[in-house]
Amino acid sequence: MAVTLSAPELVPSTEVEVHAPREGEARLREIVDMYYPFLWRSLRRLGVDEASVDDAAQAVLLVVARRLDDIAYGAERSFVFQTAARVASDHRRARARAPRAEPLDAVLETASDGLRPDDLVDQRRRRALLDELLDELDEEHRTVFVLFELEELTVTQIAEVLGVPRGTAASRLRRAHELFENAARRVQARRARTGGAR
Amino acid sequence: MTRRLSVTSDLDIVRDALASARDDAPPPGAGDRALRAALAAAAGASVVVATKAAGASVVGSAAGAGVATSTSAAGAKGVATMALAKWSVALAVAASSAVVVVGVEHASRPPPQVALSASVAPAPVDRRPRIARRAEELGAAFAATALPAPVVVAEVPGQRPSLPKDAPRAAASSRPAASPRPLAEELTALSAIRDGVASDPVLALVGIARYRAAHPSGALLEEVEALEVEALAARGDREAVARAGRSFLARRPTSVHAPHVRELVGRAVVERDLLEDAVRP
Repeated sequence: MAVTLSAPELVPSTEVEVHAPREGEARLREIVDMYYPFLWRSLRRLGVDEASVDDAAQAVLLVVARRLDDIAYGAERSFVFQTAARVASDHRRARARAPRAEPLDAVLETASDGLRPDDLVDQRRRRALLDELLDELDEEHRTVFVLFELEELTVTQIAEVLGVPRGTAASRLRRAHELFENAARRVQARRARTGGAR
Repeated sequence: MTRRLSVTSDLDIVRDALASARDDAPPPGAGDRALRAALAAAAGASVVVATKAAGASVVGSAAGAGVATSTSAAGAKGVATMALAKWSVALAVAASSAVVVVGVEHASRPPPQVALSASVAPAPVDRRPRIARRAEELGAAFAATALPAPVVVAEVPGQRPSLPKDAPRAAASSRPAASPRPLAEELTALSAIRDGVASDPVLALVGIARYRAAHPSGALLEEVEALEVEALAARGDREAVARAGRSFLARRPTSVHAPHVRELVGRAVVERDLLEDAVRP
């Protein structure tokens, strides 16, 4: 499947063309049904913090709604992911400029799947570790890594989603694996030095 | 074939970290909420209407989800929805102060050469700085929503032009019923958007989309639109700055924010041209 999309952009709604409501609404609904969890997870793993992920997902959907006519049938996932990558990139840059602690409320509101408090804390620690390790990867490698390891796409599918040759996707993935494992080794060594403190 | 680290890695923390994401999912109902918001924002967003016969592009603000949808369904995209943004301010002002109504009218039209009739008040020239007029407009709009009708909103002392005595009352009596809540909500939203422009422009743009959906003809739309240009500039999206800024200036040439928007547009265009020159072979 060839992806012919140009890089999605966030533009002001002054340029929005209103679509034929029923057709557009139905397609948008279909995209949300099929890809919202994928979008949400992708944003999280691409570096959007928990407190902001709903807003970021909405930012992506606004772009999707605006560009609906430009999205080829079958290329929805690719468009959603590329837009998510861009929104996440903006978010990370903004966070770097003005770091902020996650509000406790946002943390507590997240789905805990009925976990016991200890398990919940443990789960959050492991996810924080994942975020820390992913932060060690640059954008290009992080993107490929997330799609392969966490979304379980094949290299061919990743190449389609990103609109790059398969060989490029494969070499990025190899490098991403190295970077991630190296980062993990550093964390493990640090923990060993500090007696397992997290 | 490349194998997954979650299977091949000999590091526990790699496997642990990767496994932690396996059951990560959005909270229940998040997708539906996002869909509703996106649909509302898309329907309440401004609409570009190209008037091909005139060879010009006219930009206006849709009145809201209902209007945009029905217009679109009729196959005449946005035609009936133009220019409501301008009137939103005018209406808010008309509700409270005839002085500013005259000022707004005067700003968009040349002064009449001849009085049409003895009963029509001459249009006095409001020579105050634009920022003072806008501040009064917003103050008046706030007061209009906070006080029970009919109310004549306080004018700036010593600056009140000579108007027929019943003019303010007539304006006040035609005021639509307003509750104090919407404007307070608008102010809260504006404040959040302004903070977002500095800290996270993408989230500011989301806030702006939400504002438009909730207040399609809000009293603070002018400020929000100016902040939108600023948020786009903060994102470094030069093309979008140029588009949104020009649209703003075309619709609000006398806005108190026009000089700032003009400056942002100018800077974006210059930077874009410089970049194009730099990459040209």
